[in-house]
Parts: sequence; C-alpha cells; structure tokens
Amino acid sequence: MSDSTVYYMDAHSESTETALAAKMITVFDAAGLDEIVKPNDIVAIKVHCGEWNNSAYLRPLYARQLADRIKELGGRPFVCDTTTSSYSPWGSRTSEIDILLTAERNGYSSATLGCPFICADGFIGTSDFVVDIPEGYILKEAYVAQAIAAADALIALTHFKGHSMGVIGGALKNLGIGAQSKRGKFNVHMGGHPTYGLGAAGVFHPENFKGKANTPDWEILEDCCPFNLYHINEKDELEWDGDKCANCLGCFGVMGPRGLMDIPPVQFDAVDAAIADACLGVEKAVGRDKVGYINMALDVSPRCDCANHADVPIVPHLGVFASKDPVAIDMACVDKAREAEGIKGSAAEMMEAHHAGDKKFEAAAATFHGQSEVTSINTGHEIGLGSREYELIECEPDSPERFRFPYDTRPSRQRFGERFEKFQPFPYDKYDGKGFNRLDVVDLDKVKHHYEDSPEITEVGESVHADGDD
Amino acid sequence: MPQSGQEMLDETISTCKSIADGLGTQNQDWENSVIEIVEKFEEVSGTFFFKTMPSVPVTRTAMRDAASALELKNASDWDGMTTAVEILIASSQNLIEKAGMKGTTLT
Repeated sequence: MSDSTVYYMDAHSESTETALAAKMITVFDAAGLDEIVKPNDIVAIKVHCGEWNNSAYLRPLYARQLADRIKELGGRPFVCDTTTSSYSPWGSRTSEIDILLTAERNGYSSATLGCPFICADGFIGTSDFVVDIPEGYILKEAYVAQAIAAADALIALTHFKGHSMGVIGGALKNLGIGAQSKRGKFNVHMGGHPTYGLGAAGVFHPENFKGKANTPDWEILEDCCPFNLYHINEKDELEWDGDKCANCLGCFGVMGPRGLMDIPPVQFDAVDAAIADACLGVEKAVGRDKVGYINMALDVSPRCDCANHADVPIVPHLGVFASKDPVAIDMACVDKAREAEGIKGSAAEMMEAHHAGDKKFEAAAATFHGQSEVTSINTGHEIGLGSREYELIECEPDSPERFRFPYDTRPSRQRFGERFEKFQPFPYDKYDGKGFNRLDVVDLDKVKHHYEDSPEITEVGESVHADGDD
Repeated sequence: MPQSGQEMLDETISTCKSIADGLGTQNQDWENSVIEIVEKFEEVSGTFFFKTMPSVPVTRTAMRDAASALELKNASDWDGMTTAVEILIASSQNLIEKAGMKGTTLT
C-alpha cells in the first residue's frame, strides 16, 4: 500500500523536452509543486552550492530553470544555502562572506540565477527561527535558517548523492542539515548531547600524542577547534575540554587518523535520526503544505558536495524525482540506486558493492561499518514526516515548445535573415562562391584509420557526421 | 552484513598464524616474515582505522593474499610460496601504512 507519490523521469536525454532541466520542470508540475506557489509568494529554493573545488554539486542551470518557473507562477524566488559548521579546519562556507564567495565561484549568483543568492542563516550562522518538534525522535526543537523560515514556500532542490555521516545526502539532509542555522547544525550533530555527543561518547587518547618535538604539525591539533578546546600544556601533554564540545566536527579528520580520538559510530547514527527531526522542523516553520522536493539523482558521488573533491559516481545517473514527501523521495532514490549496477572503477566497485541489489551507500559512502542508508528515512517515517511506502509514477515528456530558448521563440530565418544580409557571415564572394580556401578532395580514410589495430588501411568507408559544427 | 575491516583483520591474523605454524621447516625466512606481519597486525588491531569503511579494501586484499598463501602451504606447493609471501608482505605493508604505521618496513 502506497502512502505517498513520487514523480520520476529517467536520466536519458535525446531532445529538447527530455533535457534534464526540462524533466525537472515536468516532474515539478506533475507532483503538484506548482500549486505550492501563489502570486507574490517569496519562495526559497534550497540548494547545496558546493564546497570549494567540489565538482559534483548541481549545476546552477537547474536552480535558474526552477527560479524562472516560480516567476512564471507569480512567485518571488531566491536561491539559498547556509553557513556550515567548521567541519574542516579549512572549510570554504563557514561564514556568509565565505559561502557567497564559494557560491559565486561555483556559479551561484544573481547573474546566473536571475534572482538573489542568499546565505539564509546570517553572517556567522546565528540568524534562525526556533521551532518546537515534540514529535521528534531525538530532537525536540530545531533552529531553522531565518530566510528559509521567513519564506512563504520552500522548494528543496537536492543533489542526491552519498554522505560520509548521513550515508545518503538527499532531500531529508538538504533540509535536516542544510536548512538549519549553524547552531541548528550543532543541535543535529549532537553537540553537548549527554549520550551521543562527541564529548560524551568520544574516547580521547592523549597517550598517543608523542609531544610537540615528534609532531611537526602539532599546531593543527589546537587550531582545528574554533572553540579552543584542545591545548598542549606545559608538560607537553594534549588536553581536551570535551564537556564543551559543540560537535562542529572540525577535529574528526585531525584527531581520528592520528589515534588521538575514537570517534563514536553511534554519534553518526544519532545524527542520521536527528536529520529527519530537523527536516520536520523546517516543514513546520514554513508550513507543511508549503514545501516541495526535487531530487536530481545525477553525478551520484559517494561523498557529499560538502567535500572539497568529487569522486567517480558510484552508479549511473538515476533520474529526476519530485514529491511533496521527503521520506518517499529519498526512499525512491535509494531504491533506484540499489537496483542499478555500480560504475566500474568507482568506490562501489572498490568496496565490492557494485552489483544490482547491493546497498551501495553503506559500502561506498558511510564512514563506519554498520551505518545504515535508511536511518533518516525510517526516522522520518516514524515521526510522521512522510512515508517510506510510495508509488513511483513515471512522467511523459512535456512539449518541446515549452523548453526552447525563451528570449526569442521565432525560428532562424525570422531571427537572423535580415542580420545575415547586413553582416554576411559566409563569404559567398570568394573562391567561386565556395567561400573559403580549401582542398576539394582529401583522403579521409587515412585519418579515420586505427593504426594501432593494423598498419595498413584495408577497407574504404565513408561516413557523414551532421551533429552540428561547434 | 558484509565483514568489517576489523573482522577482516582478525581473520587475516588467524590465517597468518596458520601459515606461520611450522613453516620454518621449509624456509625460516618465510616464517619470520609472516610472524612479523602478525605482530604488526596485532599492534594496529582495534584502532580507529579498522572501524572505518576505508579500511575494507586494503584489509580485504591482505586477507585474500594470506588465504592464497595458506592454500599453497596446505597443498605443499612450495614453488609458489616465495611469490605468495612476497605478495602478502606487500599488501600487509600497504595495510599497516594505511592504518597509521608509516615508517614501518616489513621484511
């Protein structure tokens, strides 16, 4: 029995109306997300703008296409992301000034989007709106980024991929982490939690610190924490004030590999459950009937767009999904990924989880053995955010006219005939009307031949290529 | 659920012990090498790295190389043993370096 509906189109594209940007709008409308937007509504489009040097994040084209559609519907769109926790000592989106610079480098700006790009939680990440979530599985409140909470409607435009902590990075995480303010992220990441926080569950191993003299990069042990909780004392011992740990995650990549901190896998499980709670908090802040979800399951990299790199995708492009249910849409993407064969040479193959049916994100994306790719989904189901039972409806392409270049819809002669006469681009007056200085006939077989297969040409063939000239 | 890196390491240690057991009667160098591998693996066992998924591919390679070497020993196929031990040393070296013991050289 299906409780929710997910609208879907595969990733194949061979025409104007099957372009992925066109399919995104087709599923948006099919899912009824156009009905969420009323005239004069301020509509937040929540994206992940990508970390510095990540290259798998969604191309800004999709946000632009969606913003244009929202304008057609009478809405006033803005595209947004939020400041991150200082999860890396060298993060590129930790403050508003940093995220705007990174977003612009990654192509997200008013010039490309046709609407503002906003850092939704303020300069440091403390601009938020607190929502009570008594239904929450673990969280009882969420700190929603102010610009998102203030919007009349919200579309989560999500790049579906893997995530080292969330295992999957889908719609739930786009809002459950991505729409939280910085302090909201500390909340979801279990900062200060008496059971699952790093301060409570992490096991500190100062005995593995070999002293400054034997640790050439010792300064980073102190500098990785923006809360100044790690110190090397006068006895040359490493100390950690774990009780004050906010779970910014900044020390994970510094302390873990050095054997100085056992990072608790249970914290990751708790975060994955809390992600669904926080997503519910966002829906409650905006209005539960005013939030829609689009998952673009393309370039399905094992790591999130918050990594400063992007690995080989673990599965081929899965397609374009839309729904009013974040649980169902993520479940549909997980199911599609599970059905798919993994990509040769990807982390899925390296982990021997590349067969159809394998749980690819648990193998190729998770940090710890035992993490589940459905924890957030199951939690969302439990708390009434949505349903993991869904009906998948495959949409037919819309008309090509709808997705053509919109600024001048006339065909070529009408658009360029007079201009070409005035500024003739083809030199008909040269070389007896042939226009250019070229040989009449050349041996094309000679340059088509694969000389590594045989040194001599044995067949004569001819082919015509007519796919355009540039 | 698939084996974790730690479970694979445990299995590799066990296999290596079986390889080393009595191997010295054929070649003392082989036995010494495999015993050294066991010692290093026991040092890194239980560390953070083996709780993580990135430990899986490299540990699996060492586990399979150890299994191949044990198969040769059980078949008394001593002609292939030199190569098998060399392969096991190489994959074990890679594993202990990934586990954070850079600077250690297995012989």
